[in-house]
Amino acid sequence: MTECVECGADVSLHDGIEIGEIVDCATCGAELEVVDTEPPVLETAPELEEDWGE
Amino acid sequence: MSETADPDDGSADDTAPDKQARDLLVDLVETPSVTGGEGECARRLAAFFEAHDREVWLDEVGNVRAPADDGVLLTSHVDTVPGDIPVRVEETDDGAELWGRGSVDAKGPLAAMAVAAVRTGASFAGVVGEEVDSRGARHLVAERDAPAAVVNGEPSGWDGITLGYRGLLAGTYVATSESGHSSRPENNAIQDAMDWWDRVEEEFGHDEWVPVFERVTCKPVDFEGGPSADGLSVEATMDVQLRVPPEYTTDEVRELADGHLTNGTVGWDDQVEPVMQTPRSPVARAFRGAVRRAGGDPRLLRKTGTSDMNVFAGTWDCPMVTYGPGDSDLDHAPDEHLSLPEFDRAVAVLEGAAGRLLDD
Repeated sequence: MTECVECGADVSLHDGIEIGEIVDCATCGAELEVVDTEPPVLETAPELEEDWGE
Repeated sequence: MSETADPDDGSADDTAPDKQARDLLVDLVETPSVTGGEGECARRLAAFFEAHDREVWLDEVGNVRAPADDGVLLTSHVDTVPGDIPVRVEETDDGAELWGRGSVDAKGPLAAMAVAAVRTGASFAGVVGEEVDSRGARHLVAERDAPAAVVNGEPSGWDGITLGYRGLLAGTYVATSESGHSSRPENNAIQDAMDWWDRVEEEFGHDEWVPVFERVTCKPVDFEGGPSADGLSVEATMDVQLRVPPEYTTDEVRELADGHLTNGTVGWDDQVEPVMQTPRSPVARAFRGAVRRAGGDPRLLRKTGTSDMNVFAGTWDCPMVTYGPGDSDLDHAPDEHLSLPEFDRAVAVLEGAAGRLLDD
């Protein structure tokens, strides 16, 4: 269990959670990225940026 | 190569230079490989795999094929656009830079992937023809089974993970009208071409707030018009390209464009479907984790152009991303150069992500 960085609600995480995984906050719906696992730390998942070319 | 600096001394980064990877990169950049002339560079790349006891061969179209663990296929293109940029390493306050045609697009990604493939045991393919018609990638998907995951090589910065590309629809409009005095009010073929294109642009008009990736971008790329050789008619020929967002298929865009024809016809000769991958795939997750472990904040990208990933996604039903070091603003540019510390970090990210995917 850890905290949503958007709304502060508790977010439950499954066993074996990995850095880089994206989870949803069940309370506010925010997309959150796991940036550390011991202990679990969540950040707002990166938004899609636009780039030119190939 | 002119020796303005030693590539092994050039890192301002806190990690040690990756000599093996940099040596391969310099070797590949020093070997010209403009589309259609990739042979020598492909052989040098194949020699790198042979030196590491990997099965490798050049296939019928010239692709470098080094299959191994298909938990992930690392693939980048061997060919470059033309342009003679003297190959050299220059020192800057931010570390060493390798200058040369292809250093960014895409021999940086190509060399980084080759090194990561021999270190992790991942499958590898260096493909030809990406800059013209993707013939290497098309041959690969026609001949090879799908791997469990694909990483396509193109520059997007060492912390950038590309999930989407627009598609492409290209063709040639041709119209003819009877010649007549220019004071007459009827349209001639040149006006018909211009009117058709105006209607196509209006069809795909958009509000300014719509992201470019979500628009159909209409671009005429060549035009010829005027009296025919015998003077009896007026002819117009216009090459056009339409960039296609994931909202459409290329067939849908073609049907809408054809629907605005009055005089003239269009021969559509290139169709590449758009691709948009989920950020929640195992391969995207593996790259986010690898970038973070290397000390970066991952960026997720969608690009307004087209790459070999469109070809792979059109045939292979497996998760994929595009990844590679380098500033894509320097693609095809006269000052094309690659930061070597960034290149080293990209090798580490590729090793980390491929290793994680092969563990699954």
